[in-house]
Amino acid sequence: MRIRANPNRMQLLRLKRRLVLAKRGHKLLKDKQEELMRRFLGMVHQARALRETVEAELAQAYRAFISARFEMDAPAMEAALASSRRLVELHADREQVMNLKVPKFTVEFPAGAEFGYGYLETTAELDRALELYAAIIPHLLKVAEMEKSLQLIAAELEKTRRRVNALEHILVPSLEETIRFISDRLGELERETATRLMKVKEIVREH
Amino acid sequence: MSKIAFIGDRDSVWGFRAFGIAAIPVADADGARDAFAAAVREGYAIIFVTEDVYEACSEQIREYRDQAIPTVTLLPDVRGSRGLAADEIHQAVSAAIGADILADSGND
Repeated sequence: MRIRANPNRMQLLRLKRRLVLAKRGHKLLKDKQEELMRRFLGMVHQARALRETVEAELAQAYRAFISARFEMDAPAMEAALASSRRLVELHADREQVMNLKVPKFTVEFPAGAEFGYGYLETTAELDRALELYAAIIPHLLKVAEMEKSLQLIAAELEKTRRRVNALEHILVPSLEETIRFISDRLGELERETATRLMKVKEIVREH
Repeated sequence: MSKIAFIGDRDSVWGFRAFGIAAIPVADADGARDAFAAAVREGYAIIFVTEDVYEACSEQIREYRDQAIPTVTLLPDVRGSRGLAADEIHQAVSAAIGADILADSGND
């Protein structure tokens, strides 16, 4: 696909500069794509494995909680849960990956905190269930963080790939074709001028 | 301000209340949509949702896909996982690579 441009030296120079720029942009984007892909592939398998373990752990915790729930009435349960002092603290930061910001979550459990509800109204099942919950909360955050990062990197990869393809398959070839066309055309004009001059010279000499 | 919310059916979310996680019980799809909108307004950094809620709110959730925060994450509910989250990972991979490289190992 040729770009519409007048075949003259000015345009030729301009197109050559654009070609250099397009090639450099292409190389940079390609590098970026490779780096993103490397990170992405490194994370995918980890994320899938993590998702599987967390779902299994969560299922176990749910089972424990349900059996605790059968042994307590709802208001007592509500009161016990509300009086817990073992509150997690979430720190949400953003981490820079190339031009992306991905979330980074860390949790803190207050040191040595007890659940703080009365032992008389609650059951051992509830304790056991909540211990399971406490153990998986950090994993849940890790899942949130990894899956979000994956999504963000995937979207960026898709965008980058589209740009790389546009440069590689459309812009660069059409610039090259136009440059070839213009330099052919200029060469032709030059030869034409040369022959014309020779012809004129001949005519002049004959007189 | 960094807070965690969990929207889902009551049995699934309830226990998390003990850890200061905002457990938001919802009963139906409309309730889920309202709860999700409210959770976003209140600025939770992480919003966990069950698969039912995810399906009810998928349009709202898509709006926040490109942002680091809030992070919306799928969790199975007490009835177990239907594998929606694994599908999500799968989709991200297809989008990123332009081909489905996990197709073989994805269905095992």
